Amino acid sequence: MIYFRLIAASMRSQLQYRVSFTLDTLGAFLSTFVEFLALALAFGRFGGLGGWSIWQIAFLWGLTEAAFGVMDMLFSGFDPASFSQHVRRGTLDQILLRPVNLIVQILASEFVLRRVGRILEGGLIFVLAVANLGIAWTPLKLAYLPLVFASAVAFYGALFVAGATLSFWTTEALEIVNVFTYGGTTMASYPMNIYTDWLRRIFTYVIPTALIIYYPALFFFDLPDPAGLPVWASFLAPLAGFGLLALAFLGFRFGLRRYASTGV
Amino acid sequence: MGAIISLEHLRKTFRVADRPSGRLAGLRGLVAREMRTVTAVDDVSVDIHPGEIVGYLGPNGAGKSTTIKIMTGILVPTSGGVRVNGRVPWRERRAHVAGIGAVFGQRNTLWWDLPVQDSFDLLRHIYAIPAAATRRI
Repeated sequence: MIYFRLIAASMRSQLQYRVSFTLDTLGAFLSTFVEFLALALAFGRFGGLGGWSIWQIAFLWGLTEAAFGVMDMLFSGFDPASFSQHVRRGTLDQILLRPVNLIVQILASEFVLRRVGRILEGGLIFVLAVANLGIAWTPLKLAYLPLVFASAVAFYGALFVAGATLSFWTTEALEIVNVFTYGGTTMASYPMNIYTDWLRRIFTYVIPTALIIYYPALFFFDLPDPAGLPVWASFLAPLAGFGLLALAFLGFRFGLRRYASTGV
Repeated sequence: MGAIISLEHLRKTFRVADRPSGRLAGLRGLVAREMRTVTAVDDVSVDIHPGEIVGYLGPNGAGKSTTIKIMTGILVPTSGGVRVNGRVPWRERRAHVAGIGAVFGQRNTLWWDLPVQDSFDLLRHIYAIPAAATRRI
C-alpha cells in the first residue's frame, strides 16, 4: 500500500541522522518522565490527589502520554502547526495533484519517528502503574484496554485534524487548538474530580477528553463516578474517539473547498 | 468530436484581507484588517478539442493560474462548470489528476506573509539594484 511506502521513505530519511534521532528520542523520553518523577516526589509529601493514589494517576498519565505519542507519530501531517504551512504557502497543490487519497497523503507526509520517546515514557509509566495497582482483571477489562488505547489515539487525532481544518479559514495555526491537544493531555493525566465543575463539564460534553481515558479508568479501578454518571459512561470512549475522528475527516473535506492555493 | 476541456461561465472570487505595507505595517494589520472580495476569474467560457495546442495569455493577476488550478482540481470555482476528460475535476480529483500533467512556476521567490511590494523591496536589496532603477507599482 502506498501509505506504507511513503512512511518507509520518511523513516529512512529520518534515520540518516542517527545522532540527532537518538538525542531527540532520549530528550522526549526524559522531559516528560522527569515531570512525572517530580509529581511522584510531591506525592511523597501529601499522599494523594482527589482521593487518587500516585499509581492510579500514573495509569491515566501513562495511557494518555503513550496514546498521544502514537497519535503524534501517525498524525503529524495534520499537526496544525505544520499543516497550516501547507495552506499558507499553497504547497498543498503538490499533494492535490497526485492521484492518491488526500488523507492518506497528508498522514504520510510526515511521520515523526522520534515520538517513540514519548511512547516509551508513557508505556513505562503505565506498566509501573499496572504492576503496583493490583487491578482486578476480568476478560472484559483485558479486551477493553486496547480499544481504549486506540480510541484515545483516534480522539487526539481528531483534534489535530480539526485544528488543521481551521487553518483553511485562518491560514495561521491557532494557538487555541493547543489548549485541547497539549492542554488536554495534561488535564487527562489527573482525575476529573480535582477540577471545577464547568471545566469538567466542558471536557466531558464538549471536547470529551474525560470520556477517553478517565471514565474507562473508573471502570478498570471499579470506582463509581463522583460526578454521578452511570457505569456505561466508561464505555463511550470508542464512540467518542472514532466518532469524532470520522466527523473531523468529514469537516476536513468540507474545509478543503476553501483552500485558496496561494501563489502562482 | 466533442470538447475534451470545456469551461462554462467560470467564476472564482477570493475574500482577501488588505494588509497595509510600510512603517508599522504588521502592527496595523493586526488591529484593523479590512476584507474585500477579489474576482480572480470572471465569466470564462472556452472549449478545447482533442489535438489542439492552446496558449492562455494575460497580464499578472488576470486569473490564468486560478483557471488552471480549477482545471487541475486544486481549486473549487465559485460558480460555473468545468469538464476535463469528461470529469468535473474537483469532484473526482483522484481519477482526474491521474490523467493530467501540470507544472507551476514561480514558487518560493516571494515572502508569502508580506505584501508583494515588500517582497520586491527585499529582492531589490538582495540583487543590489539601485532604487533609482526601479519603479514602485
